[in-house]
Amino acid sequence: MELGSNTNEIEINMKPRVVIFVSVSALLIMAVIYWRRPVQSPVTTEKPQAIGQSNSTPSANGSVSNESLSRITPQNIGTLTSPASSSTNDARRAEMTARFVEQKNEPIEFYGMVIDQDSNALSGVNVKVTVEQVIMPVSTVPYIGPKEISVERTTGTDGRFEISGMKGEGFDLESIQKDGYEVEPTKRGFGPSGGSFENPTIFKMWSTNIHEKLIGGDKKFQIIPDGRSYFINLTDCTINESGQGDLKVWINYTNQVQDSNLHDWSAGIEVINGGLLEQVLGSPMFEAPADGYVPTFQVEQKIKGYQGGETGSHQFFLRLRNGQIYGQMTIDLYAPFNEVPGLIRLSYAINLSGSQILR
Amino acid sequence: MTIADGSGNTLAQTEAFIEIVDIKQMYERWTVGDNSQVLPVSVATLAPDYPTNSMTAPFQYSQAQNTNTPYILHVHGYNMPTWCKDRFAETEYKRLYWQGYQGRYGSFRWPTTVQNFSFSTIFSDAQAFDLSEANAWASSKGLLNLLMNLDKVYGLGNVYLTAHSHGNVVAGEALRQATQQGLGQVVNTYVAMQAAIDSHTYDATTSIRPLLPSYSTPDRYGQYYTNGAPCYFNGVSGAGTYVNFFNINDWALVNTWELDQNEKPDNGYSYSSDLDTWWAYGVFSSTIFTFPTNTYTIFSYIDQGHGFAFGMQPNVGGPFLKGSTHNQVELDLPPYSFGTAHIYHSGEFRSDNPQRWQFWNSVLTQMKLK
Repeated sequence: MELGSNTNEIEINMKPRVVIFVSVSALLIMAVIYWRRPVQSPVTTEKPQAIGQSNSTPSANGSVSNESLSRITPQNIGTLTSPASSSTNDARRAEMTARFVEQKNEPIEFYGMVIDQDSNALSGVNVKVTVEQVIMPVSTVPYIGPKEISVERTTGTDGRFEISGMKGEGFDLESIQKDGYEVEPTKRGFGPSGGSFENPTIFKMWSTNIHEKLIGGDKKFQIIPDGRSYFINLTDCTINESGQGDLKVWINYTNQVQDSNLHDWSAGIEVINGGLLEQVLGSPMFEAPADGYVPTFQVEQKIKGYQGGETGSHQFFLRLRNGQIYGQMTIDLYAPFNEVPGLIRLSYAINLSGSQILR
Repeated sequence: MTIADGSGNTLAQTEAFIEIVDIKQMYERWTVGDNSQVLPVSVATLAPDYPTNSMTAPFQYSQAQNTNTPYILHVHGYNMPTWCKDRFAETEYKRLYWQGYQGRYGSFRWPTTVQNFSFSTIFSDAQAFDLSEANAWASSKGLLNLLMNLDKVYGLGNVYLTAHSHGNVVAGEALRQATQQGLGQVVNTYVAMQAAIDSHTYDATTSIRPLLPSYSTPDRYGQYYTNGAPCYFNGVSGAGTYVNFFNINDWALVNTWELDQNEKPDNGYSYSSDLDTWWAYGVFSSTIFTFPTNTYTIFSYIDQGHGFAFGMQPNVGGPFLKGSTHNQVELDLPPYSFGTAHIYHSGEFRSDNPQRWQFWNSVLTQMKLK
């Protein structure tokens, strides 16, 4: 019991010291935290500066100098550069997110019109789209991707349709349907606005009854790229050097390649007794126009020795044999690359009947 | 197989031997780690997670009989659990095969983070995305080592590289390291698919994203690492041909990637323009980061991308420009017609082959394997 009494007495006597010790320790910790506390967000305290500009003077090799580093002490890090606290950063992020969402979701205002292959307005066409919205995060409701809103329209007697009355980043065109017709290939994604009532975005549909007999295919020809002319006959898809054919093609590149040097590289296409008309890659090629053709296409470039030269894919309408044949082709011409010599890559379709329809 | 008429009379009969094997016995799966909390290793090994009921060891190709055998290696993107890394790679392999590819194939796995794509998670903790980026940069060494080994086995010009989304950080940096180390061309053709990396890393002249009120960090992707210096990937030549498969409407790049860049520096990190200093701060200590030593940390957690994501940016120069021709494929146009919905960020791995074969046909065409 005495021992116990003594123990209790010691505990009682110790309590004020413990309280004082704990209090002082707590004050010290709070002081350190206060001393090291983030003061303000760098967004609000840093001097405005142009993009990519810096107020410091980097050394010649771009590293931060020792002088600069020596000035960075625990004291001035906390006061000069003022890092944002987590809560400040969260608030900044929330604000940025709200602004981001607001900027991304614009009023949808799209004017479209559906026509047939003869440019007549098509009524009763069913148009389905999905409007894509960016929505604010909701902490209790995780979701995948943006909010998607399905919208369906039917064209009027003038072939027109309109998508409006909501906000979003844009929309995906899901389908354009009418019995007896099929839609010409088009891109799927559209921005929030497009066309106008006076000048709507055009979508073309073709009667399923219209199909012409076409010949064509995909073909690769390896050639000697020394500038000599090769002739491609598109009716039987053969290549020769005799001068007979629809297309004259050549590629010219040095056979004295040096790795670090720039070398001239060129390639060209000439349509014999006809012409070609370039289209944006990916454009539908269902009907060749009557005019607008030029006789040649040519590329001249300088490429480094270790690089391969390439015209890139180009898409053309073709007018052959003085207008007796129309067609379309996608062609790419290559200079030597590794083991591949000069190369012609050709994908084409021609209509021997003289019709300009290419489907 | 028997073909019979309506009365059951046999019209024709034939037989064929079909061997059905697990696809994991048909391609190589390399990994530098799959746990995002563990730093990737620098030497890729064959993934040990194989179906033990049909395999006794990870699949590895025997020596090629043909010295001209092509090998395509795929690098996956962000937010991929291990099974998903395999599925995407297997989808690519199958779709390439259906387009006529007869060569060999491998996948390269790296420790990306995995999320449920909850906006609340992404926005409140952007570091999950940025940790994935840090791991991507760090995985480049392992990828380069693997590419060098493949180059030895298959020969110059027979190794091809595809990378998707964040995987282009791994791929781009590996090819940069190849150039830095004087290794020359280790890859025949590099196909960047919907790349989640600042386009300024390749070409600082592409557009600057508008950001209000202003950027709080300088553009060190475009000017590495002092004002006026060339871009980070300047002069890279690790691949003979670089091709950009991009979609100007790519949802993940237009939204998630941009917002993540806007919200840098991440919590715990800061940039001081007064002293041009990048640093991480704690209660009792702070860490200063400098270029080039801490480039991966600065890029991943602190420096905002000033350009648009590379995988949505047309006409990027640098190694993607040959003469006056940009090596690029625009996925939002026909015949691909990738849309604005989230699915199209990885559209080539999703949907079905009849809707996607044009993509893979184009990949082989760009590689000149078709």
